[in-house]
Amino acid sequence: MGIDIASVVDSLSTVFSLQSLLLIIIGSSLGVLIGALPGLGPTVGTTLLLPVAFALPPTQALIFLIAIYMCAEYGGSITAILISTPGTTAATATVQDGYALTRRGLPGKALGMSITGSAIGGIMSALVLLLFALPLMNVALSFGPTEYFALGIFGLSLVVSLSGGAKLKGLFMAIFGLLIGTVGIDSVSGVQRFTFGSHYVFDGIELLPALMGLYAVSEVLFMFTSSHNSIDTPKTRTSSSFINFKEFRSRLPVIFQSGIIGSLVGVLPGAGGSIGGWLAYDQSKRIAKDREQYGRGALSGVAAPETANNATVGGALVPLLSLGIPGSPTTAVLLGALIFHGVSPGPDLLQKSPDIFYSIVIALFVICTVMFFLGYTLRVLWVKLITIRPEILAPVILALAVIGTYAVRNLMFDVFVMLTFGIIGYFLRRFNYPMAPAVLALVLAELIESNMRRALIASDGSWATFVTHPISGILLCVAMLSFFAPLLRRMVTLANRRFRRGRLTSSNR
Amino acid sequence: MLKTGNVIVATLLLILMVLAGVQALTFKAPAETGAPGPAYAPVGLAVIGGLLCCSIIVMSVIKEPKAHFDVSSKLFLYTAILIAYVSIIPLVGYYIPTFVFLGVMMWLLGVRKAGLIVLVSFGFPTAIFLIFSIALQLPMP
Repeated sequence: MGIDIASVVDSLSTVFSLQSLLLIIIGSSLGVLIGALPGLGPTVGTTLLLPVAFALPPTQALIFLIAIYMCAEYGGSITAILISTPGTTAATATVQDGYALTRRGLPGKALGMSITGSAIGGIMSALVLLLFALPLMNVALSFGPTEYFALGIFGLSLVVSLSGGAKLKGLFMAIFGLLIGTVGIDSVSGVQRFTFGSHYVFDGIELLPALMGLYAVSEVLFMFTSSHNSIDTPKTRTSSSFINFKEFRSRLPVIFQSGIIGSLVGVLPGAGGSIGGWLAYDQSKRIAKDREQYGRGALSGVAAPETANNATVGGALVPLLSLGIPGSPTTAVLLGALIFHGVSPGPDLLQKSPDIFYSIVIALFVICTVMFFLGYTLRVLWVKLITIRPEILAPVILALAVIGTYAVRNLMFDVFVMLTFGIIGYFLRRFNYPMAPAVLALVLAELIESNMRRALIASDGSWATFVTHPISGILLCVAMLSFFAPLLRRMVTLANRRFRRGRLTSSNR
Repeated sequence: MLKTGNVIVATLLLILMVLAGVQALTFKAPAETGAPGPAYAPVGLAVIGGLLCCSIIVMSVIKEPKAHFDVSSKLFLYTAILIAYVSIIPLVGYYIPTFVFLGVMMWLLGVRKAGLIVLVSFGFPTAIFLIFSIALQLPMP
């Protein structure tokens, strides 16, 4: 695919016009706010502002909506890091280490890593969109149910390492999450499962209420109940200082790897930011220099999911622009805006409207730059929010979680779901059941089960289909290695220790 | 307490898994395809979950707990207030219960400055009103 220089020059003048720049700044600011408010993700944000996009010329309309989309993906990390309440489902993996850093008094570093990773992830995905749109589309088209199932298992292989010292309980929580994921009308057969006739759960347990319950509500209940029956005040000083160059440089491999993972996952229809974030988090453990700190506040643990979930934005635009297929609800909104303006995305887009394609790519770079400056400057304000006394902050978090959960589907039922998950989550956490495996399983449950069954139907019930497909076979092999690696590592360490003790005893004799 | 609690929690989860497994056995596909039906995954997961619960019970009995666990009586009070707050919202809307909830919770948690309590209890619902109702025009409970 050759780059049409004349169109690029035209696009540059479009993107750097005053109107476009203003729209990028407004869209980015709204996106950050919408992402930070629990319950309002990029889909809600772009849908709410779609009427504004209708009033704009097609290129500016798309730039405005993409600015909201990109910045909302970043905004979700703000509340995830500060108050353990993921603003969007894509930010669930960020809670693990982001909130741990806040507890250690380093929210500024966590937010700094998040915005840096998000901006670089977005820029990487723009490059991917520009250079590899067509080859990547071919890869995406080769993904069938078998490959999607393997991808889900690959993501799930993280549970052992997410379980910390409580491996059995971690495995149980993963099973628990997968089981909850089966609630609702079965997408393959149409049979109702665990719905008990309630139409509220026909689509399954909504993800965000469950996550807010498990993370935010259970965390606040923890804040309520320290050993001395009053609220637990963190003893550390809160710092708003940004990451330094050394911290950034040492996370570059993680950021680069996560950007690639996010871009690839974004291309796959139906995958999205949350799956991309978790996969990147998992893979980052292999190369991160601070891997020993994972779960206790590793900067790489923030960089990986945040880079990946923003990289999925550019990735998600690949099937939209090259085939006209919206791979996610947010890109479906973008498609609506394109169709409204009489632009039909697809293989002919580059021939018929190259200026739109190049404007989007160039705008992605500008959006990421604006997003970085917004994140950098607003960081100090966000950090100030958590210096509010916990006696005030804790009830406010609960009230915010209530309205955020309600906003997902405008149903009080979801608020009760959140409350139930919060109370269950609190007691399970008190008994050392880790939450992360349940959350990961909940995110991946539908992807794994429905694709497993579709693949088996297509292969007349033959399980061999999962290993005879090359991509699936490789992913499953890596998943097995990843799953058993922590156990094998432990066995090797124990064997080494015994061997050393044996040598020491024999030398003493 | 932690050891007993561990056994009780794991037993409750085991019961949940058994109930889920039994319920899942009733899921029948409208037509046989030769591939796993709608009961396949839930039954399988319930069985594995049940086995893991049994293992956790055994491990809890064998191993000494490393931490101490006690349930604070205030937790029940706070949880009851939270449930009451959420239950009242469908009846009288979001703003008034939130105003009362924030005030009561802050008082119970030890905030004694009346001005601060009123400021936060009034300010937060006002901010939510401005953002959700006015700016974004979202439906409120």
